[in-house]
Amino acid sequence: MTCEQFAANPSEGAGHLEQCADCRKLVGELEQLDRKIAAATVGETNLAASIGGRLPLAPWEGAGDRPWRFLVPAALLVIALAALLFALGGVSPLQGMMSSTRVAFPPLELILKIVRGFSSTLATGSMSFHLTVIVLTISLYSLLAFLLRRRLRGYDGASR
Amino acid sequence: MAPLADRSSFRFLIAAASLLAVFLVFSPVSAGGKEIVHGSAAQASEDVFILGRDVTISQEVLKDVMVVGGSVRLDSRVKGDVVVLGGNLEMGTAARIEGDLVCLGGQIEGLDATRVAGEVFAPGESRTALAPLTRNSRSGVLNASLLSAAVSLTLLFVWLIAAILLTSISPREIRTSSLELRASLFHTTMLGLVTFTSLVLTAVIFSYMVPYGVGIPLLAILGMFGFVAKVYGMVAVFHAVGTALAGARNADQLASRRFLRGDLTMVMVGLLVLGALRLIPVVGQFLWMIASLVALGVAIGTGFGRREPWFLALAKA
Repeated sequence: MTCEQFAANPSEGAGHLEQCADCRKLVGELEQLDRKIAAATVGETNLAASIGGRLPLAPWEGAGDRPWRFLVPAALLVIALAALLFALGGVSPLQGMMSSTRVAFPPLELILKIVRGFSSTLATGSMSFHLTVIVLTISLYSLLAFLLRRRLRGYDGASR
Repeated sequence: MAPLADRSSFRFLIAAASLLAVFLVFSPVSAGGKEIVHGSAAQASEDVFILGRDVTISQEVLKDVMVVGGSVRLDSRVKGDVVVLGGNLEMGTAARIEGDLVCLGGQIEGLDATRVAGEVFAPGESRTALAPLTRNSRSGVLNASLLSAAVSLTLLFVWLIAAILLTSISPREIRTSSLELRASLFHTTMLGLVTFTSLVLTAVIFSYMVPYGVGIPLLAILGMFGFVAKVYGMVAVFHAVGTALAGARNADQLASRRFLRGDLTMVMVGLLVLGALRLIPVVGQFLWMIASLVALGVAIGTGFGRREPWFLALAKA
């Protein structure tokens, strides 16, 4: 077996190493290099581990953590600040918070009032107004369907 | 893959079509001038319905006033409710409302809680919640500012509870939507714009059916759908903002962190940042409005994080 044949297929050339000093020396140096790389450090960090640690994070890595020790105090701080500001403003914190939440959750009778009034107001519109509404609705839904056709990107790079 | 020039032209066309659609939907229906509500009598004894025109009410109205797509200047007394949709309300010195006041999609100027006997409802304006409070509290600009900030913080807390619940129930979907948002911000925003205008027009169509009995249930379903889409989308927006600002970039960073890790934390960081920005007058509300549009877009575009196509028959190959 020649040196080139051994280099192409080292696993079948065990006998060649016993006869060829050059190849024996080369194999010894390569094995030493492997050991050096595995043991190589930057500062106090193993090089192989540090390279892996610097790779970009996948979206799901670490996503399941629930640090309640941070979340609960932050939430309590927000509501405590709100209560303090209400108190400084001369309003009972509870009353203030109840009034504030009514903005997000209006009473049903108010909504029904708006709906019925809006419906009655629409009836006063001209024919051209009604036709415009219908045409615009059809156009917008066509545009919406067109936009929704596009495949999502995210981390699925093949969609490009 | 389409050439770069074609993609840019396509994006421009989509943006132009979306903005034109919004303009056509929300621009005044009529170019008519102001209408003075008056008659031979000093009072209007019927409900006042105005569509697509600005109006000045200078006579007493014994019933309700409803204005859609136009602004109102009120200079007299209204014994019923005043509802303004898609327009501003300016209350003159002689304005009095003995019923409720509702203003959606517009600003209220000259609002004085003592001149409105009923409830004041104007989403997006913290003064709405202030109206019943300022009757009982001390007066002053500083006081009003404190109460306004307190109202904003209370609403922020409500959002916080909703965000924690939703992220705990479906973290994977929120994360998927957040990722899609960060990968396609332009497309998501355009989608949100078109979705919002489509929902508004659908509500108008359903309103035609109110006298026939099916309109209100349909509107209720539409309203619930819009509400759920907005809440879900906003939580995804919070997650995206939080991840962009405070997310770990690699395993080393993640391992070294004790607190800023996990979906819930990213949602909370994003919510606190956007909530703080919302406190800035004018700019804050504008940013929140843009975030709401993006939220609608990401909720609809990702199918609430499920990444399933809405139209299988039309799906691209």
